[in-house]
Parts: sequence; C-alpha cells; structure tokens
Amino acid sequence: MDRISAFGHALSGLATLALAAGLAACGGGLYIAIGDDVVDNPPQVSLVASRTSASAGQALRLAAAASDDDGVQRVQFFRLEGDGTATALGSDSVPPFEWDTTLPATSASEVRFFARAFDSAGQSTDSASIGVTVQR
Amino acid sequence: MASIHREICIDVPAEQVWDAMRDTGALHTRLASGFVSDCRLDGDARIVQFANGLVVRELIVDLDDSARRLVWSAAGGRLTHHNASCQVFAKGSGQCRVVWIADLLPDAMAPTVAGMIAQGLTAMKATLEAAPRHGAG
Repeated sequence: MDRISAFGHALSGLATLALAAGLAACGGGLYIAIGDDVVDNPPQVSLVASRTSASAGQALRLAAAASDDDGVQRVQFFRLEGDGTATALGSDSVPPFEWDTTLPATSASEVRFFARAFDSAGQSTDSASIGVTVQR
Repeated sequence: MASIHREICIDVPAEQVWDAMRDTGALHTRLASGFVSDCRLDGDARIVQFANGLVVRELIVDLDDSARRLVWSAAGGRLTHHNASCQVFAKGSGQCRVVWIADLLPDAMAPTVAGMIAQGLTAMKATLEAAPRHGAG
C-alpha cells in the first residue's frame, strides 16, 4: 500500500467511525426529514342558543364559537329530530358563526341542536348538543 | 328550489354500509327494508316500490366508490326536478354517518320528500345494524 492509498484507507475508517458514532447518538436510527410533518388538528366548536326556552314558531339564534389552528372554513348547524336523524339547517362561513331558525312544532319537551365546524383540510368536529325547552 | 340535507349515525363500519348502498338493485333487502318493498334494475335506472305503495323510477347518475357516494334522479310525477345523493362517512371505529341530500322542485313537495328521507334513513339504520357484521367471529 503506497502512502496515498494508506491515507485514503485511514480516512474511510474515520468516516465509518464518525457515522457509527452519529447513529449511536441518535439512538441507533437514521433520521431523514422529508416533506412537512406539521400536525393539523381538527377544529373545536361549542354552541349556544339565544333562548333556553321558546314556543313553536318562535325565532332563536344559534351561535357557534369555533376555532382551528389552520382557520375555520365554515360551521354547519343541525337540529336533532326525534327519529334519530339530524336535519342540516344551514351553514355560515363568516365569523361570528350564527344561524337564525325557528322552533318547530313538536310534541317533544325540548328541541336539540348542534354545530359542526370544518377546517380547510376538510376535518370536522361536532359540538355537544344543546336543548331548547318547548313552551306550551 | 328546496334543498333537504338530513343525516343519521349508524353503528356499522362505513365500508359495510357502502357495500350495501352500492348494490343498487338490493335496496329493499340490504339497505332499507320496510321502507322499500321492492326494487328491480332497469338499465341505468331502478324501479323502486316504497312500502306506502309509491313506485318511482330512479335514474342512477353516479356511483363513486372512492367518495362512497351514490347519486340518483327521480324527476316525474309531481316533482319537476329531483336530484339526490347519499354519502357514507366513516366516524370513528365501527361507526359511520350517512348523509342524504335532495334538491327538488316544486318547493311544496319538500315536506313530503323530507318525511320520506327521514323514514329512509331510520330504515337504513335498522336494516344495517341488524345485518351480520363482515369479518365478525
């Protein structure tokens, strides 16, 4: 082995040692970052109504407090029906997120509503439902 | 134009619900039994007989497996315009949400159609939750 080859061989050995030391420092893994790994959390939303009780046909306003790390795209408002289905009343894409509705004629003692917030990634979250007592 | 958007949560995985929904000729047996009494395919359409006696020809407009969305039209009779879709969204493990949207004219028909949609969704829930689960065992 001539002097240049011996020097190169020594360098190669040093590089191998350095790589091994680096891997050991990382816990034995090789970490390569590709693309973005930013977490986009789903939105958060809560709902209130302008009245806690109303009679059939009476107007009430639903107001949702919605937030998202990437921005809320829209909030959709729903009324829960007695048969287990939910009727979409409408949606608002501009804060404050609100929807005006009227209490339907019903034999139930209360009518329940909830809001669904969407973010720009299409993720959605439903609020807890709230009840409006039906006055007779 | 009246637009109706109604939905229901079903305690069955989305893929199983979609498997029944995309079987367009089996509406009366796999998806909404009790609400629909008979269904037969007729080219790009299906002839649906509802439990209340109403018979409707529904033209299948689109069946999108990736979006789990079925679109059909049932204009005719008193409806001068009708386009509806049913879409299945996964919701947690073993649950899904079925969203039924119908756009129709005249507006006066909206309460009747809304009532039928509600019946259809509750029938779907009952039919699908009573069906044996895929992969159960």
